[in-house]
Amino acid sequence: MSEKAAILIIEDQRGFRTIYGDLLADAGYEVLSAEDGEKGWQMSKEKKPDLILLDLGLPKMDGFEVLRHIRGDAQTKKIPIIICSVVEGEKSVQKAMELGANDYTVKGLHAPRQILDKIKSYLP
Amino acid sequence: MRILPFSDMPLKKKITLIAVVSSSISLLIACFVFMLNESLTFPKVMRQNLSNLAQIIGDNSTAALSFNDSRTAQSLLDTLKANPHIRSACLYDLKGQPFARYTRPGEPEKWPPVVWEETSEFSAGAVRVFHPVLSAGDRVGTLYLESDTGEMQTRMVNYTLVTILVGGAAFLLSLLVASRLQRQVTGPLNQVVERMKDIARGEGDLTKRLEVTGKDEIGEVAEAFNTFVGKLQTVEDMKLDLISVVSHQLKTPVAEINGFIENMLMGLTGELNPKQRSYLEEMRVIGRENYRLICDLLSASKIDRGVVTVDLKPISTKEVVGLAIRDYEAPLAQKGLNLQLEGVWQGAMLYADRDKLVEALRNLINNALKCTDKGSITIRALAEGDKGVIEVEDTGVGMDAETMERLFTKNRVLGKEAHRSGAGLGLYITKNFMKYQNGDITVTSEKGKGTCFKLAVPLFKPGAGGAL
Repeated sequence: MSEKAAILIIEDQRGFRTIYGDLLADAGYEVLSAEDGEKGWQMSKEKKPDLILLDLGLPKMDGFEVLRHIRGDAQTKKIPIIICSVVEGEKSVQKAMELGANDYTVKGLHAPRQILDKIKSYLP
Repeated sequence: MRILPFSDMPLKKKITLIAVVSSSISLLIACFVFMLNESLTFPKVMRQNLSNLAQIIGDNSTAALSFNDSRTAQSLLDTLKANPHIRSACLYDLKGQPFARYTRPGEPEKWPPVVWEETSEFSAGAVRVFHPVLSAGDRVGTLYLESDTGEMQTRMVNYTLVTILVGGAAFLLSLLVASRLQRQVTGPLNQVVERMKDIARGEGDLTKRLEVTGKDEIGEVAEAFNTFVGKLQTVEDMKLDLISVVSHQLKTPVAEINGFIENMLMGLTGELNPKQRSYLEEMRVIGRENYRLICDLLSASKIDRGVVTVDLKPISTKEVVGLAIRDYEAPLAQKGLNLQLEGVWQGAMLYADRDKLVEALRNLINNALKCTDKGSITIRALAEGDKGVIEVEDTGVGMDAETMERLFTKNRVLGKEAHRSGAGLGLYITKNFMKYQNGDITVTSEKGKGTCFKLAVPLFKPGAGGAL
């Protein structure tokens, strides 16, 4: 394992990829990113990141599908996944949690500090 | 009972009145014509009857006249007392001299001079008949009969009584029938009127349609009304869709801007000078407000479109309060307000939708924060009967009764305090969220002293299989 933990951001909004990417890079993580579900799932398999930030509304393959694939594959099923949702407490977040997501953050509401704290709690 | 002018009468009274008056008029005319006919034909009948009687008595008295047997003639006339209407009778001989006479007891003994021709007349309350008495074609005398018209009067009185009885019965029957039949007209019309009133008050369900019962004008009104409501619903749906679409479109960009602001404040773009920091902090506040507002608009549009789903589960007050205050601890500290928690840690179990209850509580904390400049905000958990209660009490500006009345409605304008509130949707959403959870929200407030909002939801009863 490299000295830097790798975090994969699967997010279709360029703005959020930049925001989370810069935030995580600044906090000392290696940042990987994918702009759609299919690419996200591919990268999860190939790069085996230490943590995944997953958006739910994604083109090509939605977040739930990505989640099912990751949790269904022996090589990726242990990777912690944090959902990035636009709305807190939506039924979709609950569904994602039931599908095996570890936690969630709300885009635009949770402060970076809170997001970083969450990420840290899932990484050694 | 006050009698309304016709134009102000309810339709059901108008229809009943029209039916009863018109049927009464036709009945009255029928009765009048009948009575008129009776009064015209009856004298003829009476004259005829009296002539017939004269014929019989005349035929029977030929022998007595021929043989100058006045005793037999007298006894024959005396049989007339069997008919109480016969006033007097007289049998004249060929010279015109009375041969036998009869008067009803109490009548004056007076007879008119003989009239030779066959006559019958009806006048002045009496019927008079002169009848030639013939024996084998030869005249032997003349019979005079006079009868009163009592029979006719009795009959007219009887007819009048019957007319009144039948008329009364017909009136009552037509009233009954009319009041039944008018429902056919006013029933559907009242339905239309009630629905129109509902919709005018803004309470009507636009998805409901009136039942079109017939092809008459009322059916047309109902159909036109349905079309109208349909169009109204289309407009309403468009409005709600627009709010929903615009809010969704706005949400992500606002969230992104907030993210960039947060990153800059984290120092990711380098060291900030004090001015830059203060600008960015202002922007963060505005950005978060905007984000909240968009969330509120979305929630309100969901409530209005009836697409809110509820997930009732046991949850502790501790968890609800913990989640609700998470984002407010920093802003409260910034304003120098003291947050007090009472009874929260006893962890009573509620039966509620976690997210909606947290959102409701957050709205109240948000309001308290906006309306309070100094003092404290207290969050108090307690049980009241089978309800779990969470109170949010502040020491803020408080409200007058007028404001409190309009508090839970949409499009609320908080008067002078308007600038302290966002779109005023928070309490509308809270009220509805509480309703969805079989709960309620109440408020007490005093201008200048502070406000206390109270959320109540059912307490969780283990083993009861639910809270309902």
